[in-house]
Amino acid sequence: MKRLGLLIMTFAIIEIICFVLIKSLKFEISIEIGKDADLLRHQFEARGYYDPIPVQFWNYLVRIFTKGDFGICVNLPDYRNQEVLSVFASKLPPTILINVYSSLFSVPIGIALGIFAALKKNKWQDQVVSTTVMIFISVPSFIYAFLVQFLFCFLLGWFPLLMKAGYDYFSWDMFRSMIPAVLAMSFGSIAGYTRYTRAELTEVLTNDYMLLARTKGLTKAQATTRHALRNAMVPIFPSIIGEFIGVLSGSLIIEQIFSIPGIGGLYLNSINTMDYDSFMFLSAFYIFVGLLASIVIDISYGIIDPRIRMGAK
Amino acid sequence: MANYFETFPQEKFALVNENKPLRDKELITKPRGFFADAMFRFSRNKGSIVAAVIIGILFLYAIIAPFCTPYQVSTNDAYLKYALPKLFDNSIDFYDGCAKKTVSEINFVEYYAIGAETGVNAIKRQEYSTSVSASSGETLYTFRLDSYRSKGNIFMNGVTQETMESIQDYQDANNVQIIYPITDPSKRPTAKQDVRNANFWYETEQIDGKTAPVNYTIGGDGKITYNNIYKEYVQPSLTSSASYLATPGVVPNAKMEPVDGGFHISFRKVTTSELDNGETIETVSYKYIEALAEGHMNLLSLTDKPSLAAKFQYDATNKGLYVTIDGHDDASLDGDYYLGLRSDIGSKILLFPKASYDPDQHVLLNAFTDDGVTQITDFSTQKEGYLASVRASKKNGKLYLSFDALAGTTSLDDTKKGIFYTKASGSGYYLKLDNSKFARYLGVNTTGSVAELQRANNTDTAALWHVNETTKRISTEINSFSDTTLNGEYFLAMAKNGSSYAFTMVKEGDLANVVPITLADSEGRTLTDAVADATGYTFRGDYEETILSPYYATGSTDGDNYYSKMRVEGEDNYLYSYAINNDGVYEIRVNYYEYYRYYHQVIAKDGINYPLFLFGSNDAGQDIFVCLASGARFSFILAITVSAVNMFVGAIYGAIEGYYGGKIDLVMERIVEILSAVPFMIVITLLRYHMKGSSQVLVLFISFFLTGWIGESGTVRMQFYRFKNQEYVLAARTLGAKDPRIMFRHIFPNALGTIVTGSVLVIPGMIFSETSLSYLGIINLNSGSMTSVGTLLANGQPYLTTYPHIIIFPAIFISLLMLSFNLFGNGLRDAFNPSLRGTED
Repeated sequence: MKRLGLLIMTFAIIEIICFVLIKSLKFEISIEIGKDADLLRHQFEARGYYDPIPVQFWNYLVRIFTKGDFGICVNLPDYRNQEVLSVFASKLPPTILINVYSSLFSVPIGIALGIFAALKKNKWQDQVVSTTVMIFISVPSFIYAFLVQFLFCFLLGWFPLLMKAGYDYFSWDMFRSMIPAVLAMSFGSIAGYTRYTRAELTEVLTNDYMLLARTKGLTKAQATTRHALRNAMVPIFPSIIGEFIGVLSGSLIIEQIFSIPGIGGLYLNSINTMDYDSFMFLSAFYIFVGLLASIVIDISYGIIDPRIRMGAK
Repeated sequence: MANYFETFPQEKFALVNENKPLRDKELITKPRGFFADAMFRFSRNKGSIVAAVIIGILFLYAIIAPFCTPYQVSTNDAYLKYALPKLFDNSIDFYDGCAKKTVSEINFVEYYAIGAETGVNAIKRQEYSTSVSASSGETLYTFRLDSYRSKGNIFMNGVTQETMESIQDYQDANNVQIIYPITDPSKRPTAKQDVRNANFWYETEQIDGKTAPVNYTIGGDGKITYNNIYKEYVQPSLTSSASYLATPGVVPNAKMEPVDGGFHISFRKVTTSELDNGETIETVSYKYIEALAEGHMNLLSLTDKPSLAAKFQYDATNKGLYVTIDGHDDASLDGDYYLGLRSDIGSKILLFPKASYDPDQHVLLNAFTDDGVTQITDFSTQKEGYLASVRASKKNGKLYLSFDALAGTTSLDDTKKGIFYTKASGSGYYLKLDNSKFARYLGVNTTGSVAELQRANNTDTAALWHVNETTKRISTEINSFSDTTLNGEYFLAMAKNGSSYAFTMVKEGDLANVVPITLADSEGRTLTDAVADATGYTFRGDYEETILSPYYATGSTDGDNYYSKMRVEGEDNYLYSYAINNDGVYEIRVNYYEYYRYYHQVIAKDGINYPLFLFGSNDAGQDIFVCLASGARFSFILAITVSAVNMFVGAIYGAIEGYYGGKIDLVMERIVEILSAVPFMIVITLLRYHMKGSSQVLVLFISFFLTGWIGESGTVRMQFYRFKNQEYVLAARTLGAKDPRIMFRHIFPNALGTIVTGSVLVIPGMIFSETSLSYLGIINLNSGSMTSVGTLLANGQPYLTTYPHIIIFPAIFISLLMLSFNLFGNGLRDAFNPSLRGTED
């Protein structure tokens, strides 16, 4: 509870700083051709865009908490005068889907590889896995994106080069066009899970209770699944949850490369066009997701392993 | 067994160290220090050593590469975009800047034509193989396409006289050809995208909106012959009056014959035929201008019969020739017509009504007598005369001489096929031998007892030639013989040498034995006669406003905007033009591969030879090798500077936190928490907008400084918590050491290993951030003289499928760098902190 309070406090402070910094910039509006600049100015005046910053902040909060109004897009070319929240909601599904698919794909493979490497520790299989993991962790994800795009999409022609446009997120065509992005995002995650699992499991496997388990007659497989794996999962699981929440914010570059109509692109556009409200909202989103990930990790430690929660008291 | 030891006699036993006290032995090896120990452990980690070596190599590449290549980031070339990586030239079919390509016949013929014309092969070695397409059944051609040479030729506009001469001097000195004959503007492709494509020097047609080569034959030996070439002006043929008169640029050699009541004007046609014994014979025939009475559109025609020829008269007022045509269906068309040129349709000879004569628009064709200078004004004398179309032309004070196929003399043998043209210089002319490939001046050697012709490389040693106005011969004054009787005027002449003629220099008294080179009279008949038996060589002179035979006409006229034209031995049907004069500057056609070298050696003087990009070139025509080095240098500078500054700041911050603890720690830790929760993207975005005026490099550095030290401070804080209650700290404090001394002299060295490791381990992340940011365009580090790896990746991404080399090298670089830094950092950590080995995280 104390941590939750701290989280909210940190979040609030960052938000205030961001708000002040963004609002202290000169407010510029880009006017669509054929639109009346004065009309826009009046509209913004009505929304209080020219008030002193504290007043604006107060109004901003009031609007959020009373009406759920996060503002409107001012400068984003395609979404002018639309509500930030609805624009955000329309961009969320692709980002979430890509990340869910990526997690569904990489968690089992990563953990399986990690277990395999841990069991074969210091044998050639382990060396191969560890070396590959090292390479995959180091090489930036956009390099995989290029590789995937070039190999699978261009040379072999298995998938389309870019993500399909449209809103039919669960059609087969759409899924097929998402695969390259999912693959590109998964390589790094798989390597990360593998390394983490291997490290945890090797440590557990050297514990005395493993020796005890074997001496009391359990087979190696039984001992590994019943004792070692369960204990190793204690730190692994929260990290998976944390990572899952963390990647919700999406990879800006991956979205850019595969032209996924996700939050990353929206954020970049809001930066480039200096669209205040959407910038504020998306910044808040990113900050919130980041903070949430850290706190979820902390909390889930306690849920998975009651000893830790006891220890915290 | 039991008495085993009893078998040894007792005297064989001796006590060890009987008289010496037993002590611990002194250590033989020196104790190793902390860092030496870490170093030792590190050196046993093979992976990390390799990684360190790779980092070293990449670092050296970043530092040294810009000095190894003459290219700069700012060097770009619009004609050399997407050039493939190249290291070897002709010998090996690997890494040679070529790509295997399979195309249809039409495309293949286009590529083949580049090499066929210039010898700068777009198709490597002009080698190819054919196959039959399974789907369409058409023949496909497979070859290696050279990405450096496939640009072929380009048109260059606005070339000045000095540049023209500089290129010619360069051609001369380097024995290469840059300028190729210009293609006839009227025959250039009609397809909009190809009008300015200088590679179509042969007949093309527009098929389905695309320009396609036609009229070519692929020989049995694989060589392609282009049967109708457009880079030159085809010799005027009189078979069709329309094509003859419509040929721009060539003003026919027209002769005027006085007949009763006026002149007949005829054009001379020379036909060369070859006899069985190999000799060639020229036959001359004439076509007369006929003024048609019917119709009113095509008033001018040609006829073989003098009886049909129109009778022209001279109008002394307007100084033009005119003909009276009566008997039209439409009587209003009856009347007097001028023979002339109209400025808007070039040199097409036409008749236009006298009434419509407009001096601004029309150039009248005038009549001259055979001395080429005197205009016929007195109609009553009825002299035989000639038509000169170039009355109104600008001559720029130049003497144009046209020679075809010089017979070989020792000093002139490499200039066999050339034209002379000279530049006025003071009171005379330089005779310049120019076959476009070699330009040489004619000089005179006076060291011997006779004057000999010699080749001069520049005007300093060239002879100054005069035109003897009486004899029309070309001569030069030589007054530097040791035997002064030899001094005097020497004439340029031809001497028969076996079956061929060679240039020679003679005094006036010896002229009987040779064929003097005269400024030909307008028709050149004397010379034709003189050399008719000399294996067909013909020589013509062209002086000022006199136009010569259609074969050898050279010089620039208003209607004929050409700089120089040339006939090449063996290609008698063509007159090559090398430039089009547009108001004093020229349009030329150059081979870009050769021109590139000329430009960089002579004009830019930046040490660049032929283009060669080790890593290829990108979409802006920049050398990726040097761009990547520039980006890498920036990445290294950023990583090292930021990591050093952050280590410093983080160490102090963490030390204070850890050492004092308590409330100070609590407050400082909250600040860290807040700062670390702000995504880096937001920091840099806000900073970028608040520092709009300053450079993006500074923004990037500052944003890294702002949050980069957080990780470092955490590590140091932990270390200080660990060490601050140790006995040696207490001891130091007891001895009266102040806080800073304890912190930085006593505790800090213990944490140094961890700190160093930490600061190395953050480097890959930092490079990754920088690359990502510049890739996304959030931060733009691209300026004229520098670039970043992320920008290179972003530039290459659109060409992933077409020109993958643009992205491959930056991608390999960044992957190698990240991998090496990770391995190196892990190795360092293991070395400094062996207990952490294997946990990897």
